[in-house]
Amino acid sequence: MKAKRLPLLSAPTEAYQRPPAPNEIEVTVIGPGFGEAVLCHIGDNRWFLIDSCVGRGAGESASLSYLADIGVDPVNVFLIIISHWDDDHCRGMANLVECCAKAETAMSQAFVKKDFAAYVATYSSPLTQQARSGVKEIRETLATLIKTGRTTPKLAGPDRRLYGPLASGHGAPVSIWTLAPSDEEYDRFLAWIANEMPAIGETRRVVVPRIRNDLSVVVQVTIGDDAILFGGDLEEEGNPLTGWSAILASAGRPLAPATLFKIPHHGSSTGDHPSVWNQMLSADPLAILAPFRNGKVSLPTTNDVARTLKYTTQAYASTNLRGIAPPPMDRVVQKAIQEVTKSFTTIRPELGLVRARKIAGSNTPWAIELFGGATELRQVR
Amino acid sequence: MWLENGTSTALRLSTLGSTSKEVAPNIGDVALRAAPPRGSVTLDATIDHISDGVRILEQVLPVAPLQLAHLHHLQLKSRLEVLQSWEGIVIDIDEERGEFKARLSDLTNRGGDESEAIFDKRDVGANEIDLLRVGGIFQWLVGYRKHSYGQMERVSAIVFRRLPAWHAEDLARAQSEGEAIAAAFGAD
Repeated sequence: MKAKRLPLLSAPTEAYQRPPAPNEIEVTVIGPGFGEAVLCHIGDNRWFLIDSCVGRGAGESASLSYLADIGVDPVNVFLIIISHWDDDHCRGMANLVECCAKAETAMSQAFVKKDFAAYVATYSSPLTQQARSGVKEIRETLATLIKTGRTTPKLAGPDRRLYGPLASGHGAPVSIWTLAPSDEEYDRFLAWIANEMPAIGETRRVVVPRIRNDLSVVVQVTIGDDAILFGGDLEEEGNPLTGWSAILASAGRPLAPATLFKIPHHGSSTGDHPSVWNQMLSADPLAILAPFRNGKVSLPTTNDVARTLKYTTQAYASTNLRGIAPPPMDRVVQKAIQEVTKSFTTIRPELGLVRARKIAGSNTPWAIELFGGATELRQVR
Repeated sequence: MWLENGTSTALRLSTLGSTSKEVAPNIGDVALRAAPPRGSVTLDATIDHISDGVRILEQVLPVAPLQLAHLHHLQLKSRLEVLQSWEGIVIDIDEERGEFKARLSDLTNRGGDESEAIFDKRDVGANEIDLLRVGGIFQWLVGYRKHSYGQMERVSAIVFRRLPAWHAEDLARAQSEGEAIAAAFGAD
């Protein structure tokens, strides 16, 4: 018998459990400190999701837990976007795709290229039950899509309208675009994959993480006069053919300035391009990010927070980076850790979420709600 | 969980303890040699006391040096009582600093916690140093090593898993799966 899904928050309140009204737009960013998931309600109980992380139940998609918590049937999810294949963005994705049986998917075409699928198969060998990596999740996700006959994913790329304009009960037409990855990023990624295929006789190893998030999908949604920009994990390197520079240089993207921005790459400086704030966003936009903590890497840094707060006064984080205590351990074990390691950090995230809602077509500002470990960005550290 | 060290240098797994079954498959055929005896003096946990991946952190029940030398010559059994174990994946190696970084999954308290730690390369045994590379898998064990003649040490052991090589058939199978997936999605 399947175990009952755990609520996303340990102490859910009545306010948290209230679903959006049919004429309300919602953007929710879930971030447990390692991983992120985004949900967007476009009205009329229609949802699309970006990426996946796990909630309190092992392997359970946090997005599914959230939908269950607010009483939304996963059948109302019409689209799942896989922004890239990093472990922190796709944990629980196979579970999500399986349960949202009516949802289409959108991803980079690289995910269904034979070279990438062969790479995924090569590194998915059951080396160990504990070793997790994005490739296992992607392999299971692709298998689920084939099993359920959903083999025509929408392909994410620059200036590509996936949906729209869709009519809606609230009267504001909805369009969903992808702005990245660029062709250059796509080519680079496939070249890297080819280089990573092992030679015959090479000792097996766990997949080596890709340093740059070449394949990250960026999504822009317009709902009437409202625009929302989901930055994925897109990074910037000052190359006009890649990253935010490529998007800014594009003539085919929607030009409506976004009032809500999901900040890319956990607020790090590598995901920042000042012109995004000047050219793609409205003045003083609502900005949300999901922090990232893994070992010595902790994002956003103090500098990242200061930089972001120069762009906007309305910035929030899905969880905080303070007081993440290691689990209790035997005294002798603790002593050994101190003696043997040069540093030791346990990832014990406090799950939280930022929820923004507004009536579609209204000129009212976004209403912000913070749950779990979520906080204003200025208090994240 | 107990790990036994017999007259040979290879470790054998006993089935004592509830966690032994979970840990056993990852130990595989890795050899873990006994550290040289250190006599009756209480040792500090220094790098000097590492031998083939086992660091003696403390002599808990010491034996007089002469007696110890004699007993060691007889190669009597010892066993390791594991208090805590992790599975580690090497994610970075800093040759200049002589250290490596690993992501650790807790095998003792399986609550989904993950940790990240930096180790000194000298904690890896000389016979396993070739296995230290990004993507390499190891177990880190902390516990007490008890010798049959009464000596007991608090130890830390890093045991790398000797993974098989990719064979031509493995890669052909992966290529074949890649082609099948691409074909299912109408891609090339």
